[in-house]
Amino acid sequence: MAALLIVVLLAAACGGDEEEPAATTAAASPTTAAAEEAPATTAAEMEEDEAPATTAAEMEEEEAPTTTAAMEEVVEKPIIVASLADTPNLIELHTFRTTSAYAVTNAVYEPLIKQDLVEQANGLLQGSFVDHHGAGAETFSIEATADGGFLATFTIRQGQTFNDGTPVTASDYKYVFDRSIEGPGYIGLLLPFVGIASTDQIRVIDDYTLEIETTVQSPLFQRFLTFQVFGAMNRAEADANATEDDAWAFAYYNDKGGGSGPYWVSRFDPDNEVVLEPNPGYWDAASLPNAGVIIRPIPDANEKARLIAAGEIDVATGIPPRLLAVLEDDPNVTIWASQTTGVHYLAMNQTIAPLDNVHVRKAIVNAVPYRALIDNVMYGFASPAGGVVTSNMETWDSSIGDQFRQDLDAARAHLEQSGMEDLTLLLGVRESRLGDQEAAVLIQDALRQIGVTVDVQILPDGDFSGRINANELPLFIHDWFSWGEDPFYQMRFLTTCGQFVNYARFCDEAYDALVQEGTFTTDPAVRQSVSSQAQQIFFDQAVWAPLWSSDRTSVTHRCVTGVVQDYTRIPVFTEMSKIPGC
Amino acid sequence: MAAESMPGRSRRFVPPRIDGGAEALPLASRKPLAVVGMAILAVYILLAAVGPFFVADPVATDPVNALLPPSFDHPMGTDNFGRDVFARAVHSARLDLTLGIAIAMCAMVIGSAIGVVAGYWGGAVDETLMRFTDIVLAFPGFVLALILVAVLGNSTLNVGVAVTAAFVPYFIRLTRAQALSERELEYVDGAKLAGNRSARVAFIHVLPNSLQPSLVTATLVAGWAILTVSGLAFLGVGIKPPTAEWGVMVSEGARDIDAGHWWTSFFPGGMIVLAAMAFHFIGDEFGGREA
Amino acid sequence: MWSYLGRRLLVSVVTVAGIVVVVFFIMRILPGDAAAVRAGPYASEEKLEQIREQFGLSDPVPTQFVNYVRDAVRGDLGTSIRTGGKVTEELLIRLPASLELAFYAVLLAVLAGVPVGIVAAARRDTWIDRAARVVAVLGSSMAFFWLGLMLTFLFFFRLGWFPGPVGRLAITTEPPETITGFFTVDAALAGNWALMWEAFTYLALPAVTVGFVLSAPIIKIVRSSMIETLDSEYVRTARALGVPHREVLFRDGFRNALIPVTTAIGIIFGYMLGGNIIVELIFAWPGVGRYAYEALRVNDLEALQGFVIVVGLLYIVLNVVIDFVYSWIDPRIKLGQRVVA
Repeated sequence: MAALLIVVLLAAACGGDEEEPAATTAAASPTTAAAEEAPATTAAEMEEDEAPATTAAEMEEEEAPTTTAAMEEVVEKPIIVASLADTPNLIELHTFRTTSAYAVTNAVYEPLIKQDLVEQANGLLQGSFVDHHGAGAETFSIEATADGGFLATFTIRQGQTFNDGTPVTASDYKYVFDRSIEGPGYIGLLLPFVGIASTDQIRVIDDYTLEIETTVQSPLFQRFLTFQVFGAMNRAEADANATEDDAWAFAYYNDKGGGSGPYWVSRFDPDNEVVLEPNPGYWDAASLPNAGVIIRPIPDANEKARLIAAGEIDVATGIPPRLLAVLEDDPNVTIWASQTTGVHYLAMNQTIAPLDNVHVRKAIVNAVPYRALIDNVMYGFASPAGGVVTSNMETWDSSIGDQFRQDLDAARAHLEQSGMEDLTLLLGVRESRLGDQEAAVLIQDALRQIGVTVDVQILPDGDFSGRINANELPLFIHDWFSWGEDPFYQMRFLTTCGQFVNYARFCDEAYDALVQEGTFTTDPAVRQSVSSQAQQIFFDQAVWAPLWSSDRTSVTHRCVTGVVQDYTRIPVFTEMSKIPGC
Repeated sequence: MAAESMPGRSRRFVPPRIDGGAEALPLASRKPLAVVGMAILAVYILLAAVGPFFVADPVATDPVNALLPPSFDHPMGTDNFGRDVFARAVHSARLDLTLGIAIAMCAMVIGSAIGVVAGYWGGAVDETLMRFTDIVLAFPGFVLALILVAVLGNSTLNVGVAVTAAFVPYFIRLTRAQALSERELEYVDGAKLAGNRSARVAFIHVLPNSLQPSLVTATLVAGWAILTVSGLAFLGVGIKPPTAEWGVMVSEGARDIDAGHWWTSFFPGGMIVLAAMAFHFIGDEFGGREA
Repeated sequence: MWSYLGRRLLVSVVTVAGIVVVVFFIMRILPGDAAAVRAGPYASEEKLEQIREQFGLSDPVPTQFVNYVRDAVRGDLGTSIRTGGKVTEELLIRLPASLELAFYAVLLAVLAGVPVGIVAAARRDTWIDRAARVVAVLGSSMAFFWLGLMLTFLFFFRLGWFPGPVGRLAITTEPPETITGFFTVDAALAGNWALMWEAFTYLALPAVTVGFVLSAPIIKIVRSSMIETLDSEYVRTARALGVPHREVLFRDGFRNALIPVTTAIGIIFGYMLGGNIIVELIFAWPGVGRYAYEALRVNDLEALQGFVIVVGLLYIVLNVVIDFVYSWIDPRIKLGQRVVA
């Protein structure tokens, strides 16, 4: 349950689809996390992670020359103008926010450690899944404890300050964890997953040494620490602005950034512009390749596209695929797209007749126009999903996954076998998801061709979530993006018995047993075979019609460099610059 | 309303008179705009009534033939999914016209009833009703309808109810003013002297005579109701895609316009405006004044 | 006069109070949970409770109402659950944008509608008159969203004469320093003519869209009141006495038509005060209408209530102002004599 929360939350935090604003993926009113389910991690990953006691020393050596170079060019650093998928309406660190608000806090708060970035052939900087380097912490070490947890020790970098000049100390990092655990934000719900439940587990040894002790050895622990929500907060400032009703100064930070990261918020007028200026006290300020960021909301995607092409905006996210297709022909624009393991799917709730009939489900799975969806809804900015284990994911079995294709004759045959006639089914889609709405149109027509009437209903997102939880929607389009990118996690959360986000309410003991086996197996051959068997059951039972895996996209003017795409979908500005004289 | 009042209704009902005089002249030359309006409306009603049997299925997609410009096969072109815009516009005519007329009629019936009550009884009843009407009229009808749909939930019926509610106050005011003046007329006194109860007097004598301006207003309201319903649909409130509805179609078509595909929004929007014009030509000629 | 003002004020207060009551209770029956919107889809029940507590949503409705009225009287319309900002401030920031658009739209409507109405009346039952009436009917039958879209398509995408629908200024232009909140005026006051011109170009399409629709009632009213005046005994006498036609038309006819026209302008402007949600949406105009629409989408009760109350208030203030304008136009009319149409 806790694990689920994280994945769900990340899917949300990362802003769902690039194609639309409003990031809502799955609904949940999570009950208290069942901690015993949490350590469902693969042993293999754990072993790899136990070893590293990484130091940042080597990295600093590497960066030294860059620093000098940057110093010389300091005058020429460009200001980056960005327009994101939505409006950063509030930027309190521990409140649920919009995607662009996450982008702001990501730029303002500095976590203890960060992901290494690996440059791809096209210049895209891809976040590493395995390697991390010190950020707010100069060095860190993680050791296994006798109790089966981790003891992590961080040496906080000296000389870094918050924007008001206050030095960053270990207690500022403790503060952010304490605030997560005890404050009113949502983040506290995540920490039990990596074995942190109490503020006692975060200890300040001295001004520049912080210790974190966990109760489990989660392979996700390091990645966890890279989250912006655990970036240092200026404790002195927060305490000074706390009130009786608001002990953690949430209200104060709604429109301010209180971090020690690369930028500080010098102007916050979310409907017009949010200005991020470099924080001179940032530990790596010298190597920042730009002189600040201006975020301007542009609700009209056409206008956004026009401004990108004209060079008036440097980077944009949230441009729908149909416009990306138009922009592709524009020589002034670069589209950065990378495939993901996310999935958009047409779920069929098996507790609702006639979807309890496997032939009806198979008829629907066979009727869906998969190719047309990718071509006409996603304009090619997607790959076939091919199952709950998606086509870009480890252990995907193409011999099974490729069978998800339109075959109307087969669909009609299944429908006949089911003995059902004159079916009318409700298909729910979310108001915020234009792509899903467009997909519904094509699905509606495809099902009409096999004699099934589909009543498409566009529902407000909250209403949609309420109704799928209450088993009131027979058909609906949903999506999922798990940064874990692990096939067994994906199957476990989405399709095993009793899972909260198993909205199709599929439940099959043999399938669950396979997923369970795969989760705790390290042998790649066994993983593959178990995964294939589970995928076969998924296909035979026609659990979903897996529609597509959408690409992660951002658009820049051709002169912009340093586009980062990590496992989140949050835009990152720290590497971004422009080619001089371009 | 007392049951025994019903039989008297047809006897006392005075149909709204079309014009003061000049009966000899044909309508076409006395009121040319009204005739134009009626002609347009007749075409629309024909389209709405039988059109759907002759055109393609409004949900039939054809991605290969997406975004074709108007041609002989597709008089209004095809949309992003290859659906025939003309077929969808025709299906939409049925929905929008029905809504427009039904809303105007319901608003008239409800508003007139309340207006008669207020105007005839006067006093505290009148004061209360008129204050309430003032409050409702203090914000634009569109905003009111928008909020009401949000309260009631998205469905075609709820849109009808919400938009009706937004137009009721116009009829209340109008009928009340009429009732106030009718009340002073002799025949009402005569009816009272003859021993009729006041409810009977109000509804049998006052209401029919207040009806003429109400009918004119109803014609105008039918036009505005179509504009309001499609405006709400354009905002994604009330009627939603993929329902074939003019406002929905304009909203969907708006996305194509930057690439030069104007027909997906031009035609359905034009259908809205032309329908509203038809009603307004008629209302304008017969009434001339609007609320 | 003062007793009239007093009475008028009393009625206004009653109306505003009515608006507050009606809106408050309508809002309580809006489906959906604003706290859930604020907290995001993954919040626990406790977090939701905390938020409800923070925004006073867990109090009984009568208590909420008392608190709301108490604060509203002090000018505090509460906190937007969507943005976390003060509703009063957020509305005041956006109001000038709506007012500027409304002002120019009404101005255009008057500048176009009055002459057309006069000419139609003077040439009654000719083709000119018919054409004017067709234009008026077209205006009153126009769908804002369609006209706005088509104008944008034609004048921005096709011809490139006007800027795209992105709001009050280019995204890269620094707005003028706020004095009146009207960009055109503020830019002029700052002596920045280029900026003023830019503000006008951005205003053009939305103002024409709204102005065209608003010109319809003005044409109709000017026409019918002109006809009424021209048919009057007084004007007939003047004509019989040899007063030139044009003079009769403009001096007597128009002057008498001014009163209904003022009423119409007042009503129209009042209507526009609330911003035009559709036009503000399609032109990305940062006004109160769009604010209200965004609030509605996420059940942001206080923001919506604030919007409705502010609009109602402005409307009532405007009505009182019109009363004064009346007595100024026509000294024969004493305050309080106007019969509300």
